[in-house]
Amino acid sequence: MMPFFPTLTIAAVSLLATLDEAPTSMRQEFEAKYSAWQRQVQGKIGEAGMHGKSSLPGSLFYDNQAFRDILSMGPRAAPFLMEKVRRSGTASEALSRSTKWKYHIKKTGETYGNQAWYVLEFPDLTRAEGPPGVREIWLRWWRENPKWTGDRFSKLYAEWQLLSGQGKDKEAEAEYQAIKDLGIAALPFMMERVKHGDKGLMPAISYLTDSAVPADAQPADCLDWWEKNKENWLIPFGPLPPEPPQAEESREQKAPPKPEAAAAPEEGQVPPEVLELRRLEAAAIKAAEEARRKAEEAKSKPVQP
Amino acid sequence: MLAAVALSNVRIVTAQAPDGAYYVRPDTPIRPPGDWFIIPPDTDIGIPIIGPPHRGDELLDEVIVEVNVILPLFDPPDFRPALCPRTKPPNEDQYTWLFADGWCNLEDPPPSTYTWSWPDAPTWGSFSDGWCDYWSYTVGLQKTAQVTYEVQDVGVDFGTSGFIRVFDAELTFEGMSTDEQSTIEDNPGAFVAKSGPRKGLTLSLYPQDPDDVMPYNFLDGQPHNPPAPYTVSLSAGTGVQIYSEPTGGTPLTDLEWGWKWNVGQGKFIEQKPPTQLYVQPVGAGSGDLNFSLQFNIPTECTQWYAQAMPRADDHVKLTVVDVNLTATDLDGQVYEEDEDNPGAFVHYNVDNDNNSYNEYGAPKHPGGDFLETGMVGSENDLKSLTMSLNPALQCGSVVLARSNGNARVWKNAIKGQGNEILVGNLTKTWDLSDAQQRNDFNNLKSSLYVEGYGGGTCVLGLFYEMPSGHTVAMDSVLYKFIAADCGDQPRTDNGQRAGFENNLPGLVRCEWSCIEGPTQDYNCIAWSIGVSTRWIGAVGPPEFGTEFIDRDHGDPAPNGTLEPADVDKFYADYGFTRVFTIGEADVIYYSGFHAAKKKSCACGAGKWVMFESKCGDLDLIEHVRDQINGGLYGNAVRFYKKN
Repeated sequence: MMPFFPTLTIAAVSLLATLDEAPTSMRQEFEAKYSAWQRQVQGKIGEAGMHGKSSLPGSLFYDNQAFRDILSMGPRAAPFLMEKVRRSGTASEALSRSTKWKYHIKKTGETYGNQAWYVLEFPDLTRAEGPPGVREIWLRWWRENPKWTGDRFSKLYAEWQLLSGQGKDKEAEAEYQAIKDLGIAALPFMMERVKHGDKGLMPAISYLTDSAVPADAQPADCLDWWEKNKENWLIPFGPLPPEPPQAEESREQKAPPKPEAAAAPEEGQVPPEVLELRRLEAAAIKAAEEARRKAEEAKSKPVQP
Repeated sequence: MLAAVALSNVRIVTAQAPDGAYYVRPDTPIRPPGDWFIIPPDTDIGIPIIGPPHRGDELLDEVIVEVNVILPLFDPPDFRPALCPRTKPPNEDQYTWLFADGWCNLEDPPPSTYTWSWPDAPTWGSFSDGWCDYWSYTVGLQKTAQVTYEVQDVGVDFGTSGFIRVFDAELTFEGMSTDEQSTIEDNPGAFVAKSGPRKGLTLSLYPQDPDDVMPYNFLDGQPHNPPAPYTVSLSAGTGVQIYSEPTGGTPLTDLEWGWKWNVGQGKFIEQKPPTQLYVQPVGAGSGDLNFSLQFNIPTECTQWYAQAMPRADDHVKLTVVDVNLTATDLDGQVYEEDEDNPGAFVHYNVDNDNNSYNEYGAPKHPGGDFLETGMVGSENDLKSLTMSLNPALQCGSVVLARSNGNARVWKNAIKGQGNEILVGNLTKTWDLSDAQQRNDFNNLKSSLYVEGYGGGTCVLGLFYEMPSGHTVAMDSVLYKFIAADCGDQPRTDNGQRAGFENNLPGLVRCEWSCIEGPTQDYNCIAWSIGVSTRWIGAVGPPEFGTEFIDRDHGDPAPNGTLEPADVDKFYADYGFTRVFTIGEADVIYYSGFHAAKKKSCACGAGKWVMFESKCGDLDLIEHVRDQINGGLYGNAVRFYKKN
């Protein structure tokens, strides 16, 4: 099957070849807002006396001006948010709200051992030990877009139309919701359908544009709006910068200071008492090791009925 | 740990001399008949002599008390007459010439003649040098040398001779020299470790059968009843028990052998003395092991200047040394039987009790106390150590040693310069023969403190060494220096430590560390199932999180409330089964919506069961299993085990 909108795909990608090319001012703006958000979250958790708590109200994170400031950057902030998601899942909510892409975790099987979690949108992203992580889902989505969205939109759009034509309203509605869940990455593809006179997508476009395009807008008005605003609504997909090395020091670097030099005289200068103690120490360690080994053997031995 | 140290290479001790005793056989030739007397012993050399039953008391006043006893008959014939009581006849059948008269001038008494003879009759000899008359008289098979002497009392000059027999009792302690003339037996004697292995004790009699010395029928062919002819006895000394066997058995309570009166049989019964016994040190102290062979001479045989109960003695001074280290650790005093295994558990002193400069030792051990040599205010991680040495000795040395640098020993619980005992050095020695050092030892022995300077093990040992440097006894303690050291110790300069300690008051310093810094990426519930990429909330939005126990695992269905069944279902979904004891738990669930995950690490060296807790939006910490109870997270209420 031919790609639906090859031209658009290329255009979207070419918007920003890499994040490194993003205007410095935009990155600085994002970093400033992100830091402000983190500070506000910390402050709010502290004010609420909830540091250390494992159940926190979402409002502490999202009901604040700094978070809204990030969202106000729109899709332009998506690459920077992706960078943050790569390091911390906390940013995924901002990315989700910013792009309006929604993924769905599904589970097969009922009991541990025969169950598996997978991402409906990427069925091969399956894990037996639990749901695939936020980070890998978003990275997958980022890496495969915009082509993935175009392909999926084509499929969903075709199914939605077919089901609508068959009068299967409920099933068609589900397909329509799935189209909306593709997020604003689907807007270019929707506009192509609008160009062909499709008015049925208007509610979805309205939802994705936060009502910038009214749900009852005429196709011509919608396209006019798009031409004027699309630079602000195209997600600048592209390669992310290489992941920086882990900031955390290795444990070896944190090794404690070496024992006192004076306590380790040259071989042959060790007093006989110390040699005797070292012999005892070695014997004790060996005995402990032997006991541990035996305990493990006994543990692993099958219990006789 | 008590360990006895072999006494090989020990310079020690054998029977002292003189310890011989002599008696004259009853068949000693008498000449002139009726006029014989027994030469009194030289008291300096302690030779008791009993004489034949006939003597001339009337001559007593005219005998000069100085005696020459010429002993014995040795081969090769380089015998020189001398007062040499340490020697013995080479065999019991040889006789010794006894000669005495006047007082002897031994300034220049080289033997001038040697003769071997077995005179059928006693021979007399005499000569004069113009000043004195010299007399000699010999009997028996003998090799004699002529001795010059001066007669002081001219009117009663004569000599005498008789057969004498030598008997002796000799005690030899295992590992000690068999040199009978060694005086080490007496001073300093033998040293053994309390509770050390049994030591052999050889009992030698000369002759082997004491009956040969004093035949009980020498007068009338019948045993004398009473007194018994001989008694062999051993006294055990201080802090020891005597056994017949090298191992096992029961200690001997009757340490007397020979002829003893048997009430049941109404007569004396002879019990031959043993030749080999074993000494078991049981208590600290110093005393003598005394061994004696004593003859009970019939009164009709005791003579002038003779002893009624001549005896030969030997003794060995034996000191049972007990050195002991008494350690305390995180649980209090360490019992003796635990000193080796599992040992003493003491903190690896990584915390920062005095809130010192955090950059020193950061990030792993910010302000770590172990890095300091000065006094550390509020220091509470050093544990006391007591040394003891019994009995109190004034010779030899005490050595305190460590096997490596993981331990430091101070004489102050908060450290400080000038208080170092084992810091930078592996051993510390106190010479007990030096009064100052002896006092130092006595002053310090109850005020030592052990610090964990490195994580790992170290053996501390206390040795008592003889002046030769040989180790007599030792005690040691295996130390295990432990700390929660997988992560970083909390900082004190940014409120990190205070925050945790305030919310989780059960945390003990050194026993928890920060594995990972604050993050909102995941929480404790997520980490309890091994997930670090999402925050798992309790019920559902608007709660923060990407997964929720009730919403996503509600049992039987989500109902907006977190219930125990939901928690069970959540953990079941991730392969955990509920168990009912904390010992089985891989996950502990707390009443305050918190979960901790069991950790498999070496922290605690088996003493602690370590768990990890992601503390909400704060750090992931490791901690000892029970130490977050009762704080922010409530109490442990459910346990889960990984399938």
